[in-house]
Amino acid sequence: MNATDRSAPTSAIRRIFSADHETIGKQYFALSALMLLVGGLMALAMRWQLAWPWTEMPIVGRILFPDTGRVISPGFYTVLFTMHGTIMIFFVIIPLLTGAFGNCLIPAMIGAREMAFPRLNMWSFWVMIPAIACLVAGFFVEGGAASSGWTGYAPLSTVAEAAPGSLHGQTLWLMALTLSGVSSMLGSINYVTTIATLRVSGMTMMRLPLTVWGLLTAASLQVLALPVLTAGGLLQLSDRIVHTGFFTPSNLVIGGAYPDITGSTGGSPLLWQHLFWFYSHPAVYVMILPAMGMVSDVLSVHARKPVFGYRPMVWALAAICVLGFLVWGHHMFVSGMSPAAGTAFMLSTFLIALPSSVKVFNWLATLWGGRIHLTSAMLFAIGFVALFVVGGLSGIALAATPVDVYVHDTYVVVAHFHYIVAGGTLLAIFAGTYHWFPRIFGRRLDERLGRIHFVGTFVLTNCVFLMMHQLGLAGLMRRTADPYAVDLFAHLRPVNVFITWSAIGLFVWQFFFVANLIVTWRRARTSAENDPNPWRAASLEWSAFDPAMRVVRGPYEYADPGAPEDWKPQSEPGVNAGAGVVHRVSSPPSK
Amino acid sequence: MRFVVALLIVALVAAGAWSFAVASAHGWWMPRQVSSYGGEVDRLFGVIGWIIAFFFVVVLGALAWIVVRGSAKRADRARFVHGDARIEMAWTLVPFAILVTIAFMQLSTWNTIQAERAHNGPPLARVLAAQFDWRFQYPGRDGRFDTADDFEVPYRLVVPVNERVVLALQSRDVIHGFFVPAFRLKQDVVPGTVLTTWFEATEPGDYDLVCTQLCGFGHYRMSGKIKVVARADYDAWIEQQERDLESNGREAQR
Repeated sequence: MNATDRSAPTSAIRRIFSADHETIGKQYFALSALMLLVGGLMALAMRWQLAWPWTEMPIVGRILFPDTGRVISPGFYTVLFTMHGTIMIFFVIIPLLTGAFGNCLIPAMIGAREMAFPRLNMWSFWVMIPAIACLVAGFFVEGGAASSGWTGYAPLSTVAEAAPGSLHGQTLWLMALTLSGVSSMLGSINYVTTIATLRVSGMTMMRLPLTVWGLLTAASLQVLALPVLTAGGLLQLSDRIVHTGFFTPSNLVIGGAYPDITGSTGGSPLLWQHLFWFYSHPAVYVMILPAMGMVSDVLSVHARKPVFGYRPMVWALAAICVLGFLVWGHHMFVSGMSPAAGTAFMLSTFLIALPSSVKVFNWLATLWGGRIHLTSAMLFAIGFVALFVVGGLSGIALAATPVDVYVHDTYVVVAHFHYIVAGGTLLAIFAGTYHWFPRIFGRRLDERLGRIHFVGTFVLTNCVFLMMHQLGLAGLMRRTADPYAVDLFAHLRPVNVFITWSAIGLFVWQFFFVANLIVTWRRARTSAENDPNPWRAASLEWSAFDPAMRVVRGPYEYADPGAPEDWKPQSEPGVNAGAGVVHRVSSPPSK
Repeated sequence: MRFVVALLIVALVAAGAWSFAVASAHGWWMPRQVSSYGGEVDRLFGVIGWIIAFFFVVVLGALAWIVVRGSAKRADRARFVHGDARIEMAWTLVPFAILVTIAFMQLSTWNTIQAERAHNGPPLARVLAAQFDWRFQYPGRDGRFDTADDFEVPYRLVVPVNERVVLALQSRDVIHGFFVPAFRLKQDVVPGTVLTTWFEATEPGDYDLVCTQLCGFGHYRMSGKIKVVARADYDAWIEQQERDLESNGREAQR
């Protein structure tokens, strides 16, 4: 089924630098989990500061901040949220979805023996290592790591004197971002090509599991949008190093007198914002489309019921993919962009809410009348739907320009995207992990620990992010190191203290997941685990690889009253068994 | 377990409702608006807020109900349905109509807020943003900038009540965000360019001004005040500033 079955005994180096997609997927899992821990600890440090600003941090303060008397300095706070955002987006969520799940699921789900470009695939993982090295190196250079936000707005990011992290840290940050972009690009080209060319006989596009559709649309977004970010990053690098003026106006003064700027020439700070968001808005969808697909699969399998409206679900993914390119300007409603452009971007943003809402209704209809097995995977998938609804609905308020003027850059925005990414995508990743763990690692995670893990995670995620809406409505701006420096926000402290305790609780609660991994790892293999298809799922990844098999139906044939069992596998054994080649799709037979 | 899940979802709905219900009592809510277009913004927010609340309750309520009803213990199989074109049509077109309606409701207020972007005459004052403070430059008696009677004040912008106040926003270093919560006004201040914005305050008083765009390590403490006063008090204040300027000038010459 994977490389170890078919290859001769290999050296350790061969095993580490493996071109086998499942090994690469597991490497992505390990690396992203480590980065998730780092990003999570940074979030806790920020929460400490927001609840009790400028107070000595217990235990770790002595080690981390010896120079400042164990407190977080204002400068280091800006480093913290810059790195938290960068790590969580580029080194946790995107690699987990596309790298880890993409590698472990795409070939298995489409019936391919391997990826189209195994070596490219290997490189896409290993390029992440120097990327992370650059990110970490930032902490050890003069001025410290990048501190101009994960958005890296110019000229804060391009003028060395503007921020401590803009001295050298920003250069390393740009290199890290570009390398992670190279990684995503290599991976995405591989996924798109694999899905386009290596589907087993009978696997038409409209028989692909929605997970594959989610990964395909996400990879398409990456392929088309990443070059723009890479180009923008290189331009910013050249602004920093050889002092070109793409994004940097000509006569800036850091400190000192106020210059006459009426005759200013030079670069445009807004140009960077356009280039950045032209990629980074599609990146938001890269972080949700595969999650949507995975949740669709989990809901269908564990409700023993076909996905409701498969074709509308596919069209919704495709619509999000296309419209995702037309909404970047909604990050710039107060940037000084033309008001007419603001109107246009508002309209396109309202339109993109539509496919998302269609998906929610289809998920509800999938569950409706199902026989719902509340496994850990199913619990997390249902949790995803609930939290995605919250994040999606607050997006409506953010899309409306006059309302956005008020809530822009406040904690409403923080609440909104954390409900989508931390509440939504991360829960979907847990759902996928519980669901596909038997497929990937040959073991089943403990269900009781899984349920405890879900209940606490769901409750505490809401405790952390729900009240951030109120903070933002009170006007509290994001990225502030001390909310109480302004009298207007002094009364918000109880909310922040509550959120911080909840965040600590949420972090500690993940112990149940780690414990689950350890327990599963250490206990003896049960007889049930010899069953290669524990959920009785119909899609291809649960059956042994057979190059001669033929796909004869869609991936969600559950509950057919005419069938002997409540599921019908997607494929039938090959008629010409032993042909030994991966069949490309020829004329697809009708269902 | 299905009742636990339903309870969790219902608890989320209840917590959402409760958090918004108690929020205004504690001031964890939008401060009272005191500007000409602030009422419109709040009204639009109210409409969207109730639509959000409706779908929040209905969708999550439906989810809880479906989970409770869909017991896996039942002997018969799930419904064998793959979809329904009419239902898909309905839940595509109804949200479409709602979303488009909301979108078009925003247009006039958006145009109002942006009305002075192409302002030609001199602004009431220039807002000079820099790491990490706000300064305000007034044209003085002659109403023209870059003349001898211009004067600058730190921290506090003084404006007349019930008058259209146009400001020219400038930054000398990085991008800052000019945010006055009580006016429902926010506009980034971009170096290398001059952006104009406007408001009309409807009540005298002191209102907070904060920076909303990350501008460096001191971002959190970049704040100021907008002091709204009656026209007569405003004129008197300008006079006072001019007299101070002249006496300072004489002292400097001496």
